[in-house]
Amino acid sequence: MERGEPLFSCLRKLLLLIMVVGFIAGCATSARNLPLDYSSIDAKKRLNVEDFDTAAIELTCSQIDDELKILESDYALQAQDIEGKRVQNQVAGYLGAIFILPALLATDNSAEAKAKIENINRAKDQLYKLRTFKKCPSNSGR
Amino acid sequence: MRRIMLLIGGLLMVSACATWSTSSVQGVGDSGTPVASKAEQKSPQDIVITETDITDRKYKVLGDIAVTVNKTTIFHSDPTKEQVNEELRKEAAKLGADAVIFARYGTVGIALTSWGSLDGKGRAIVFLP
Repeated sequence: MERGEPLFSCLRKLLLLIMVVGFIAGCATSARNLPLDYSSIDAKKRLNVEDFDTAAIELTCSQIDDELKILESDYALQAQDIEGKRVQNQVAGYLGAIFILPALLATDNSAEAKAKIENINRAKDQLYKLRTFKKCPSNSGR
Repeated sequence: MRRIMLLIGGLLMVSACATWSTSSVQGVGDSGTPVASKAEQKSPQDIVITETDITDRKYKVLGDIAVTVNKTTIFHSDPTKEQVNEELRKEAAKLGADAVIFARYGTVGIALTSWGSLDGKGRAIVFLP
């Protein structure tokens, strides 16, 4: 029992460390929920003018697509930022857990980039809804 | 014995599947989750995936699909959007869908069961004549 205790304590510390690294290195964020069905043959609700503000309703299909392109390039930038930091986090995590504890300070959970992505996704959803309402031609490559 | 265990562990780590995935389908109709017969099932390669709606063809919704791709060990590379699309296609094919609309993705990060997890959602639809 005495021999097992240091091992147990060591394992407990390691587990705690892994949890801390996991917390700092950032959790996966879920894909946003799917919108309501507005356009299938069985749709229970159809979109109305009242669902959009006046500035949005005046946008043409090509303007909507231009807005979406801007949002998509912003999204790519933020995703790249998260991906870059994730590699850095993993390296810092390994080093912190195995060799040098202060290496954990080099981790970054990309909270700002994730918040920006959340806003971009909200804006994209609104534009997708507008595309549906305006019956803009489908673009399966998007 | 210990060396053998280590060797087996090492081999598994290097040779095992890089990712594993989970999925679920939620039916939107009153009949619950639809399941296509073998004849109705499509090939995953034929399924169109789009992040928007399809406005120029009439369609029926078959179900909402949610998939998660996880990397097997900390040493494997992170799951990608393409892998999520592949899983969405597989699930849609089982339902007999022609397309997945409103495809959307989470961001890669640590999940309860994996060091790298990425999820995706989409709505499986079938075009009407």
